[in-house]
Amino acid sequence: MAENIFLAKEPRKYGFADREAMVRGTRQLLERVGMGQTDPNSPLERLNTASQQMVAIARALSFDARLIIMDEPTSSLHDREVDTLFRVIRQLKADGVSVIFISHKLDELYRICDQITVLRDGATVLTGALSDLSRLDLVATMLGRKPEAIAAGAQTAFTRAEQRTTGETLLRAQGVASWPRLRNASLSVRSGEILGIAGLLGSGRSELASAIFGAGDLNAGTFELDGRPYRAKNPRAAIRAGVALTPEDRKTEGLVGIMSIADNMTLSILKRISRFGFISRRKERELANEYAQRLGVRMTSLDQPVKELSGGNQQKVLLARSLAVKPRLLILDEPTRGVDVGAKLEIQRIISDIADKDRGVILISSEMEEIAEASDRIHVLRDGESVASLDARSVTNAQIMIYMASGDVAEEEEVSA
Amino acid sequence: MSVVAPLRLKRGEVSLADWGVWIALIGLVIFNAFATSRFFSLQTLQTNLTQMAAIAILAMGMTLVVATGGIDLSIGALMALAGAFAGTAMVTDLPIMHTPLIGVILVLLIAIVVAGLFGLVNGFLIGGLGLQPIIATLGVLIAGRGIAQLITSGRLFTVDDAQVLDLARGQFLGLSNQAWLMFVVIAAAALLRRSSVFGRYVVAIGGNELAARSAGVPVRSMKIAVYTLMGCLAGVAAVLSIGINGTVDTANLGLNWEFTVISAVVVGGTPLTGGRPRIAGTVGGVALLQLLTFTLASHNIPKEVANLIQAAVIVAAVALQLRRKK
Repeated sequence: MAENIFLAKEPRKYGFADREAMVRGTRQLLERVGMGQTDPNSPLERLNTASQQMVAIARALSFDARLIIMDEPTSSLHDREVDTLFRVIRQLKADGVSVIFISHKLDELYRICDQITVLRDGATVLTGALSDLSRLDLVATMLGRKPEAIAAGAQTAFTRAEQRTTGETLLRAQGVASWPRLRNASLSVRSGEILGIAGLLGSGRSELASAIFGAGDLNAGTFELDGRPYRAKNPRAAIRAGVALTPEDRKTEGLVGIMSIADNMTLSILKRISRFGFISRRKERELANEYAQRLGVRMTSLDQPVKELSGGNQQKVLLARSLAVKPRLLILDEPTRGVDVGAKLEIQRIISDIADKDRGVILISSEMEEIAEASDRIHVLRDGESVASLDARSVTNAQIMIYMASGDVAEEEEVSA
Repeated sequence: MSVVAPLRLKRGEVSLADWGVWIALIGLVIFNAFATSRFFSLQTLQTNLTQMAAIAILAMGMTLVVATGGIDLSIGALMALAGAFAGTAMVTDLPIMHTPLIGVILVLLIAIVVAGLFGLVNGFLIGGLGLQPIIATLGVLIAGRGIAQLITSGRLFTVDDAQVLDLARGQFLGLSNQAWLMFVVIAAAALLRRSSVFGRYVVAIGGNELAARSAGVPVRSMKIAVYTLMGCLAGVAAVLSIGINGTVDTANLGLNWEFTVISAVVVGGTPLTGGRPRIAGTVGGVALLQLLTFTLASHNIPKEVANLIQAAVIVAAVALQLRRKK
């Protein structure tokens, strides 16, 4: 930790790094960010994400920074950690340090910011005091639409006409474990339904998705797909069996950034559009065009490298790739994370349309509203174990959160998967 | 809502780094036009095409290997291995080895299969066991030449098989057989890269291996395939080299060729980080290095100085690539 903070500007003593001074300095900096108890000598990788974030801030402070720019600092933190971060930011403010806080979470902006600048399509559209701006006005400004139009629609764009939980069981998972995070998860998904998975960061949500998809280690557990034993030894086998996944991290696990939109969309189904190992350009175009239209991908051409697209459009390309395999079961891991408000609504609309009588969807999201409004049923994971399977219509957000956070209340209403 | 622009025919972006190799090549041709006597002759073209053929054939395979984010240091050793087996077969008294056409096909086949099998070993170490390509192929580089020399007991055979000599030295329709073979391999590589499932998978793996896996790309078997293909091409190059030299010398066959081949790929603009194979660029890279060697030799520049100049060209090419990244 000390080495990270003082990298490239180590205090010198006889030409060598002065270890003691580094440790001393680090301790002082850590106290300022509320981590006074942490040993400055311990390696950074042992800390959780939130603490690493704090160390990054401590490092910024070590430059005697008077302005710190934080780009989505809370995207991988959970609520309590966000509180700590905000406490530190307020302390910094009191010390005369300015902070530029970049976030797509409106709640956080209202909690911590004094001034706000709204950017849209690379241009500043508004700068002013945040207290003068209502939430509705802010969203309207971000979207470039009239506030009344936004107020008319709901917060999310899910358009489930009715709850559909009566289909045949599509996937049944029993006692799934993937060490160390996922310890004992059991769930079932029916055809035509969206099963939301709720859980805190580190509760094993993504690990469960990987286990079903054959992308991670599977230490225990059995699966049934359409009543037949199913176990994917790798993603390729899963796709062949009719299971698709859009991974949480689009850039590192999802898309090949340097390849074009068309190439990414068709990567999973090249067999279908090729003969004797050679790809039919025509079929590839048709398919990519069809999905680009259907999902409303904004692009200059199908040949544009995916890495040039915005987060929302990248997510659409990833969705297109998964939809192209015509999966029976589609697992969406954080499909709207880091996506701007407009694209988010579009993606949510797409998700509602995906589930039909032949298809089941597992939706993983850190956003309570998204889970609550999209899902037919909600499955809650806590510390790597299934704790509840809830009817989405008859449960409140507060109840779901209690299941996610603590065992006490949840134990009384144990529900089987 | 969606905006779908019409198709652009040109794929990928164009920059100085992409064209640098051609600019350098043209510059060198212009230099030769003034400085080298009788440069513009069929003779010169023939010589250069023939001399670059084996390297170009290897460089096609290497471009694909590098596109997966890998590298193959063992190709020189694979050539020695192919030479050891094919050479041993050539000097047997078996009549079939000396039957017209069948004999030379058998020699080629043996070389390709042997080198391909050792390429498969590379592929298994890298794709199957997950070793780093540089380490795995370094191992095969060290072991391979040793095995080759054990097989030939360190002896040097003279090749008097007319067919093998003719394959390497003969002509067809005014061009050397080697040049024809080179064109065929280049065309095949370009086709693989542009429109085959294999080529697409190779790019995806090099571009983002995790993403390729999550998309269902058979990452393991594709890696095994690309190193096996590289091995097979080393087998072809071995036979050509044997034919030119008229000997099988396992101590020197293909020695240090990996450096020339990798240099050509890099000079041609294929980044070692993977995902962007440039077949045409590699052809330009091979041509540039060949013409450089030719130019330096025809002006009687000492070999030591020539090496220095070649090194400068390679470093300049890589420096250009770094600029593109920013």
